[in-house]
Amino acid sequence: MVCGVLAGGLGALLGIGGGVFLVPFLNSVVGVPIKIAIATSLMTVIATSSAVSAGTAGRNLINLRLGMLLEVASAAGGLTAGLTFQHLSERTLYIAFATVTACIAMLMVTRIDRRNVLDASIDPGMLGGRYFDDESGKMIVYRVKRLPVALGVSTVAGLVSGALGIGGGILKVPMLIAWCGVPLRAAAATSALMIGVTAVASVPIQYAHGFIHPPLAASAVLGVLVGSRAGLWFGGRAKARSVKILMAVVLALVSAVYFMKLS
Amino acid sequence: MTGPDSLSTLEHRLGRLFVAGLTISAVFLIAGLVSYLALPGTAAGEWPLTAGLVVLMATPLMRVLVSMLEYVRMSEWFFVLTTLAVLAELSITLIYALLQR
Repeated sequence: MVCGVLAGGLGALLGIGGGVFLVPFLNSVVGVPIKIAIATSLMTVIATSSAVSAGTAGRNLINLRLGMLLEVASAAGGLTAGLTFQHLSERTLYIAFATVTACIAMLMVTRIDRRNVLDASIDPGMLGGRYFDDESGKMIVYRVKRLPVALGVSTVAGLVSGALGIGGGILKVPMLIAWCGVPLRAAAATSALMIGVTAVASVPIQYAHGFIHPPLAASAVLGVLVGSRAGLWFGGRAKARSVKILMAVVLALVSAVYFMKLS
Repeated sequence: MTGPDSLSTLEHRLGRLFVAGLTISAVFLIAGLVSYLALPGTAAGEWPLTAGLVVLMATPLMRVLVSMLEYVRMSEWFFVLTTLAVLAELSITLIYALLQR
């Protein structure tokens, strides 16, 4: 439950779900088999998604149209992962985990100062959005660019989510910021909404295959619910640049842990 | 195309749905965990834990369903189609999972 609190806090803060922190903790520290850790983590991803979305609803940060469109792709990826999960070896999962987290950490560092904000008078278009930003005290307007890229990355994010139990926001948030013109807070809120559905596309299959231990999953979920409240509170007050740096550092550490497990 | 006010209303509605789903799920999970810890080695707590996890998984599904109904009301047919596609994918997952049990 304690690691659920920590994972939920960081997951809510970064809009990526707590899985990227919970899986290595359950697997490497507590000694839970990797597949059970992944399935447990997917349950907490659903909890984080619902808790964060409940917390951000009403602030116009969640881009419902973009989120729903990208969910078609991410749920397809999640479903594919759910159907193939039981056939993946532990070594494959370790390599995938280490590689994905390292790539995203590097992407975050290279795009650390990018701001996807347009003039407030510009029409955001069908998939764009506008919201009031507490950090700058201004109305933020943005347009969505490179939709095919967003759909492609969302499919991969769904695959990664279902196979590694890490939510998928780990890919979608940086992608939406770096390539699709979505500001950090809108990207994090939209991703948080999406990761719940992406997880539901695969976790019932893992449940049916016996990879869910209900008391362990319940403990982790309750911990994440507490932690995500704290993460939301802190996220509303943290500087966007600091959040990106924190994300990059944590991902680099997770990647290093899994590369070390391979050696 | 409907305006931002309709989407804000939908966002509020979904927010309430998430709170309701999480509250019900948390009540079941706490009850199940307490029973499991109070009576170790028995089946006590099994059904509340299962119910809590099922409600947790059903909440995002309900969110997609509510969104679809709202897009129908708004006559946003492109987004009705996208929500239907997501519902179809989730249905495949659920049917496959039920067949595996």
